[in-house]
Amino acid sequence: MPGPTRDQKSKEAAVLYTSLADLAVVTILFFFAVFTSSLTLLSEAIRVALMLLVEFYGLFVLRALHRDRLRRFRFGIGKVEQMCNLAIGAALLFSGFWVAHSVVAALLSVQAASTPLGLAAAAVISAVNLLINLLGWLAMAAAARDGDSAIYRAQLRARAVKLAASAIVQIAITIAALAKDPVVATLFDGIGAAFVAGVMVTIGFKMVAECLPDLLDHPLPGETKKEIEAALLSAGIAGEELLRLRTRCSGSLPQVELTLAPAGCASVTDYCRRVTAVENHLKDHLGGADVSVVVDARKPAET
Amino acid sequence: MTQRQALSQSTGGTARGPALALDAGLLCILLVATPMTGSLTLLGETLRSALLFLRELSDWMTKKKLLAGSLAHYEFGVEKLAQAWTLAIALAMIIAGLWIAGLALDLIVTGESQTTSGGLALAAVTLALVTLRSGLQMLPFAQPKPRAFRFASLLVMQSMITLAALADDPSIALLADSFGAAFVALLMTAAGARLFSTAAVDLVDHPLNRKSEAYIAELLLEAGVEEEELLDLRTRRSGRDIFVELTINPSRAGSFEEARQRMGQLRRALAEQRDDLDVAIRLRAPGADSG
Repeated sequence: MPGPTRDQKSKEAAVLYTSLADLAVVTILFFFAVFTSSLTLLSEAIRVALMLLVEFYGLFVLRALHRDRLRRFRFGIGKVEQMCNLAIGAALLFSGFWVAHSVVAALLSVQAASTPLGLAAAAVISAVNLLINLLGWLAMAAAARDGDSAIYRAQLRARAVKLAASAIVQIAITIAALAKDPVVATLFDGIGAAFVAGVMVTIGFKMVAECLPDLLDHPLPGETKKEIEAALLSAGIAGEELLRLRTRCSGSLPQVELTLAPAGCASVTDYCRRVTAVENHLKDHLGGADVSVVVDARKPAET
Repeated sequence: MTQRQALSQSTGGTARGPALALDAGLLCILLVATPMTGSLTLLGETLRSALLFLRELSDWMTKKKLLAGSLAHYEFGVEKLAQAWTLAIALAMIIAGLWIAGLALDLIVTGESQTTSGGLALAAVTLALVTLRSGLQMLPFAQPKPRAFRFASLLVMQSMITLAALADDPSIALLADSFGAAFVALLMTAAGARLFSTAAVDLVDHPLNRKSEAYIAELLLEAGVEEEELLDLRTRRSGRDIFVELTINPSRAGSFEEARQRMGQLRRALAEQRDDLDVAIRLRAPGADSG
């Protein structure tokens, strides 16, 4: 079994170290939640822990991918990658709604802003979080290359969202901590949280919407099908020789199944030669797609 | 039997509609009664019933739509659609289970219950309706295991809520309601986790396990395909459907027509054994593979 390349190892290390840093933050959050008996802090710790679970799941799949442990997925690992994206997207969506709920609950309870000491402590913790996100994003961006796996791209995207969100939170919470007027403090605290919620929900929704059609075996778009038909024509397959065309997508890899009844193939050798040529032609045309030409094995009545 | 007839049978024909309508009515009663009772056990059961109902409803609607032909553009079937919906329901179950468990813990720790003895009595009566419905579903005996399990779990919750309603001591009532809620939370989380793992595996084109692949190889042997003829076997699961792609060396056949007819027989032989198989057969001369 081949081991991971140096480049792949650096990607794994970038994801691992940022996840471990996040783990440290979660541990501190849990510690303070228990120490202060704060249910709000405890729920925040649970939310971050859930996100962390998804991060570790992504890392686990990335490691398996780099070590070729997913070879048994004979139809490709595109769907596994999309499932990772779905998990990250869903976690972002969930977190976004959670934060939005907290903002609304705080506004409805007409609570005054946290105490100055509480806001100052929050600003310090937020700064640590911002630093972790910045370092994590820098490490991951440095290891990124063209043609990276979808899992790594999704992790990088999620980290960028977290960095942007934590930067905005830092600005808002610093203003809130420095503000002498409690109304201004509450306002900036709320604006920061609402912005974070908005970004998380938008990106999360986009990620879920992007990967769902693939996971559902949705057929390829009409223009791609037309491209396939044109490629078949250029490979010498006439329209009436194509009995059935089934398509779906697995990550970035289109999967095409053609049922052909090629004319003028008296012997199996002729048939095999011709369909192999068609498969190769389509693969070249569709950027290495998974193409299967299957024999028409139905009864005449079924056809 | 045509595909349409088979599908109509699997949707339960028209019989499933009234059953779903009855469940919907019961769910409405639960949704109205739960806020009035303040019982955490009933809240948990309402969430569980709502999610299970949504699953049943989506399954029924997908099959109805398939029957009407509006999902025909899914060329590889709609099982993945059903699995994605199951995945969402499973996630909702896990989250709801954890939420109810948190509320139950909070209730035990703080000891501040919002329910009254009248509320608990109403909760017991409402839950009794759900238990009765589940019991009636058990009447044609030899029911599948999940239905019996649901009935048994409802009986446990019913005992808890009845104990809470009859208890003179408010602390016993609170404890009984909390334990009932913790029980339903545990059930929801466990069921959600089980559904999640099944649906996730089906969504990622997971191959069949070795035992199932060996079974397919056995079927092929029975259908007359020699071991050396089978060049490759690719399998994947998609809900109830199993996709099998065979690559066969047709060297035993002289002409293409002869090979085509033999593959037709093979396909029919496999379909007779298992009606959930979607079989695609590639013919390739050894060493002439593409790519």
